[in-house]
Amino acid sequence: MRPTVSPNPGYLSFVLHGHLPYVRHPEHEFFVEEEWLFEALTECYIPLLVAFERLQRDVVPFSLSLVLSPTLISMLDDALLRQRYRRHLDGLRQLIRKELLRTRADHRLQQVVQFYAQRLDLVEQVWRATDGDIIGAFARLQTAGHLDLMTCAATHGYLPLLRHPPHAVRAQLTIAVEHYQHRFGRRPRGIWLPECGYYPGLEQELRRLDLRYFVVDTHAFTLARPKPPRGYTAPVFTEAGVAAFARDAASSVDVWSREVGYPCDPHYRDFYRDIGYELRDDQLTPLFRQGEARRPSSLKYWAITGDTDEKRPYQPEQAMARAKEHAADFVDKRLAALRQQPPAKVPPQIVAPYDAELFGHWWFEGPWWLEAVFRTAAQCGLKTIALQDYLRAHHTHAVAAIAESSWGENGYNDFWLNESNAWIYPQLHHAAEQMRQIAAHGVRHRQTRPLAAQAARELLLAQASDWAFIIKSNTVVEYAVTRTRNHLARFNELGAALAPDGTVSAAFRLERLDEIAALSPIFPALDPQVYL
Amino acid sequence: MGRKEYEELRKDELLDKARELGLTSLSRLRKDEIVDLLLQAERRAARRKAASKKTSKATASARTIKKTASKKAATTKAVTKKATSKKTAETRATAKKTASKKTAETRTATKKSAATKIAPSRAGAPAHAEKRNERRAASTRSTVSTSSDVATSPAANRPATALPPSDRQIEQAVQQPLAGEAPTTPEAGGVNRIRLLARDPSWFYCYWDLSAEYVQAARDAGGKALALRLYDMTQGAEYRTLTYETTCDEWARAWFLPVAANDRVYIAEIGFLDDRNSWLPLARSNTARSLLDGQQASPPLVTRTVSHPIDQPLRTTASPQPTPALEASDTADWLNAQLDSHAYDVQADRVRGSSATLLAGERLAGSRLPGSRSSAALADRVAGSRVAGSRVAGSRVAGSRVAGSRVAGSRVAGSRVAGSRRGFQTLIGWADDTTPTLGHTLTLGGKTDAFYPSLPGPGDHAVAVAAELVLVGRTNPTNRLSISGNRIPVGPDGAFSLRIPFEEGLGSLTIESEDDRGSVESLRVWFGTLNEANRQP
Repeated sequence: MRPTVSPNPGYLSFVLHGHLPYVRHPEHEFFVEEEWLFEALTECYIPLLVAFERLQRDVVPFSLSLVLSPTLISMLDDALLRQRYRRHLDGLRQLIRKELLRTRADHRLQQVVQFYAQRLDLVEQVWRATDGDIIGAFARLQTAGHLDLMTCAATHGYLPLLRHPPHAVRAQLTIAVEHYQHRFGRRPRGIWLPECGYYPGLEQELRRLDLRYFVVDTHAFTLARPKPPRGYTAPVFTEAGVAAFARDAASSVDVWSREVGYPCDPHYRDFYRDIGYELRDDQLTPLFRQGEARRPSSLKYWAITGDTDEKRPYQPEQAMARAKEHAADFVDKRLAALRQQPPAKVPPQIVAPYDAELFGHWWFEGPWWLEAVFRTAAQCGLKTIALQDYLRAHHTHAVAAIAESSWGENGYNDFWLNESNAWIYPQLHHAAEQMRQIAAHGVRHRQTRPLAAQAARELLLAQASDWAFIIKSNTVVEYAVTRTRNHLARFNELGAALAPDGTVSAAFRLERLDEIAALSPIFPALDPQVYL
Repeated sequence: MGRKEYEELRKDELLDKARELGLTSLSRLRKDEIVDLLLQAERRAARRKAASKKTSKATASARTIKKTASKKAATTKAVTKKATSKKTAETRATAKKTASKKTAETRTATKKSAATKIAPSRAGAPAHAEKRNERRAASTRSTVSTSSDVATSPAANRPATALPPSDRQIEQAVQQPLAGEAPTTPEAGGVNRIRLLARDPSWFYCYWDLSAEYVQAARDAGGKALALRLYDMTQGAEYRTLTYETTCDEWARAWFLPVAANDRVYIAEIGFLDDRNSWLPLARSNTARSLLDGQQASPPLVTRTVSHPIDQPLRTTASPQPTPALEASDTADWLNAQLDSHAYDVQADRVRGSSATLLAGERLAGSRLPGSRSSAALADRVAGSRVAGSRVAGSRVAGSRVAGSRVAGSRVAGSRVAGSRRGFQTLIGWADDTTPTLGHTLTLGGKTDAFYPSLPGPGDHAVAVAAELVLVGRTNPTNRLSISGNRIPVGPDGAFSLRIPFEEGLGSLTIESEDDRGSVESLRVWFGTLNEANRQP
């Protein structure tokens, strides 16, 4: 008997993973790595917000899942960082004014600078309109039914390598859930496993927190036992009842591939040619001359053009038109893939997860493309759906044991565990074991509880997968090593200050706790009890 | 006693001596092997006695050293601005973890072991944590093994009907002394620990931390070279297999170990080898399962679907049972064991025209019918039949004309019996030596055929065969069960069973179990040819 076939060709589910490591240095007036957040705000988060609000205004049916990692939320809510972002915008405005003068003789460059000036107007307008509360604006889109906001592990710890001892993983998850609840007034239903890092048994921890779904890379399904009957076009339930969605490999290649991906198009903006590196010192404004080395200004005037140093000036109108063409191509391919699926009661689904920072930052035209995809999909009858809404509509699925995997290079744990960064794990595991004792001692007295809580914050920050990633990537290695060591050193200092009877040792100055806490005031409501 | 004296004893006398020295489970060994172990045990006992005197003196001084180390770590300096602000030029590449993450580089790892020099990780640990670890070490000490466990073949020793243990069971088992083990480490306190992590399908990573007094004690006991061992524990702690051994420098604190086989459970041990290559273990790791590589699973034999509405709490269910992930050769044993344990009172007889023939539960099919069989009889019959993964009636069919129903595909998909964990337990087997006593017909989908084929014609050597599928399962006794739309009674213990003529075209069965709340869980069981075309839902 053939099942009744749905007229719906299938679903397209975007999942954007928004995350940056917790970087906040009040001890310095300027700190280069804080710019990661500011660049992402200007180029990614605010443009995405603008695109979503425009779709909402135009009554385009659209829905997607957006992950906001607890560290990202904490930074976007942080008063100091908001104040510094305001300063960053002012500095950028100053530089653009200067550039309008410098490029007035070059019509083509002048047009690009004017484009950036208008774009900055828009960003500042959004910043003022939301009073800097970008997270709140995304929350409103969730309330309106367009976004499904997912959480992530507290500090983006790579869970397969933190599972010893198990309470380290439990704390990463529990603190994330509590943070989400505190911020949004509701419990999260879905979680993004950092780097899609899954190991068998993790679903039991998710179930404990009533987290109902997560995303894995394609090969977690390919290697699943039994093989999921509908491949990656439908989720499976783990034995714990938590659903797993698999990344669609073809959607990934279209966007991620360095050779054939859309972002390689010659019309798109070249990421690397930034005037922050190219101009003389006197041509830059003070903000972009801070420190010993140059840094990007986010003003990039050249198109990719091709494999040449002779770049053409960037032409935003052409790039936007190209983004729409690529959006149509993407929708066509997904529809074709969906129509190739055998008929079934439940329409097939394509899950397309990406790092949110890809859109607008790495791939400048990404937000335009995404908006165009939603508009084209709506015209073509391709329904976009958030993961949570999909599970609400279709809740009967096959059961399978999916395989340990990640979406990192090679698909397993090796990017976060190799000759360059393996030294981190003995220390993280040992500290996590100690944390249980610190929590047990700390919760006995009201005055020592903050000490245990701060020790937990330091441990959580040391566990961030970003540090191992940066070390392996060989980018800002010294910063990543320093962050890991500093957090562990502070953890050890706080642990040593707490006597087994639950009192603070006489040698420890309580002012020191305030100093440490002021550096990393993340998760203010953290209860060390979570480690017990 | 010397070797000569031991060799003059009978084997049972040697075993008695072995028990006195704490060595057990040696009965399968040859006499000369037992003598070797006895001599080794005697030497170890003598060394241990000598070592315990030395280490009790060493402990006090070792603790003093630890305190000094803690103080040093506590003075670790915070990072200066200078250290961090230099990185400006590198920043642009960093925040963009996006692109490099997705490049599909070919795995370049070689099978060459790579030692990583890692400073002792415990420097700076608070003193109270060290005490706790000392206690832990004391318990670890009792679990260390001797050299007698090397390279035992699990396949040779594992009971025929045993299921592979779960990962958790293995983890628990490795915390217990293994058969024949005697502690070889000193009585003094100290911290020994080793951790094993799966890195990718080809490599494990392990790191360790050994206390100076343990290392010294091992040296005093004859240890010459620090070494790492990797054991396959998949079949259980008693049947572990040494898959890799390497000596390593004493300054090393971590090592990458090659994986012998995917999807197996391993532990690592660190210890010393003495002059005779005897193993003096110091610490044993956690268990870790090697990762699956690009080998795809077979198409499912059983597809189970469940319903979990996201706005309703997840149903409370029984703890998951271990998945019987059996190899083809295990399946017959498992089937027999299941059938034996179910203690079926078989009362099937010729039931023509009924919707199904039931084997399970004396209250199921009305009154007890004459000709019913005992569970032993059924087990014997099924044991003689081929099970999933085997050719069906190959030799019997070959060269004969097959009349009636042809054996569809002559293979069951996947050679694997997938047991469900929660609502059902199912197993599937073949019965290709059906006898008239249990002959019956089965109706599914409204079709009724005589199961036994007719002879194709007269002749002394005429033969006709057919195959039959036996489906045995278990669900909650209060559940309502149906198979492909036919209501199937369930026994008081939740057991159910079904025999189905195996005909070409029998693609799948859908088994649905409905609980008293109306929640339905379904399994789809696939049979027949491995033709993807008939697998579509």
